[in-house]
Amino acid sequence: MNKKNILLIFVFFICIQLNSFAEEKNINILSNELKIDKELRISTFIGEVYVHDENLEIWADKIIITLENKNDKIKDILAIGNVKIVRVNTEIYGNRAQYFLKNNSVLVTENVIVKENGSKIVGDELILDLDSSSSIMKSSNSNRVETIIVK
Amino acid sequence: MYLLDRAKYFLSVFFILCCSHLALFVNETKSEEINDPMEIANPILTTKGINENPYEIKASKGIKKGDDLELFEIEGKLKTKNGIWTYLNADRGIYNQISGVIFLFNNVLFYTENNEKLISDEAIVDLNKDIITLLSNVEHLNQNNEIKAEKSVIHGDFQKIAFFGNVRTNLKINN
Repeated sequence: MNKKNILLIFVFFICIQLNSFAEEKNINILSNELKIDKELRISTFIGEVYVHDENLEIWADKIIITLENKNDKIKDILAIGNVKIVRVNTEIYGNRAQYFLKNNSVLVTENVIVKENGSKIVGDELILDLDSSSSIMKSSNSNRVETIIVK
Repeated sequence: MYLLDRAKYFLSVFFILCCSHLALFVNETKSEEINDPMEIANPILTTKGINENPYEIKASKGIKKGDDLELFEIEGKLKTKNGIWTYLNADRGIYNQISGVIFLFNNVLFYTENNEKLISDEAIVDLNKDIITLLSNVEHLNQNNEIKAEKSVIHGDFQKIAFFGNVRTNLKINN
């Protein structure tokens, strides 16, 4: 085997390795209607929308997916109306949720309720980091965060 | 005298009935002549006006019945406002000359130069309004999506696509 062949095999394995890093993720969405506007780069799912992938489940009245301008990559996912997010043992409720794929985080706003192992936290805004599994609940000055812990 | 009048009356009624029957018969014969199916080998439909978006629809066989042209083994292409060609295939179709609408049946397939593919059982192509409606078992495929629905409406330039009825979407994300 000459040097050229060895180099080609090496390049081939490097390519396979790089390809495994480019992780492909599948998201399944069920809805009553879907409207795609390629000019505005948005897809709007309407009516009893249910989104699920291997880690997350989302229910909402409407979900809007926005693509980046330069390529077909997803910029963010916005869920509006009766939003419910289920992840492992946690249930999150709100009227609006925005999923940012860039930093793998979810921002839930408007009447936010988090239920976990029987405990309940009520607030105005929740930031959920899906990578670190950490979450921050915030509330306005008039409404303080209310927590009910079930022992 | 009474009997003569009566006979005259019946004769005139009989004459009127005969005339109307004859007129009906002539009419039927005429309409049969108009609606007589005429077979056309390899018909081609193309753009008629300068302001229309270019299109060309070919078939292996056509049967003309009045204003309708029934087409078999259809292949065609339509140019969108963005200059992208959309290609179509179907086993059978009916083109209405007056409305400029083509009804497509069985194995309906639309595909674009942008690797976009739409499959359905039936479709309605409105050449004047530049709208394509796909019906029954609609599937939309491209490199990122796989969408299944009961109905889809596409505006000619393929920039706006709507799906209706039990919409199932599979998104492939490479972020």
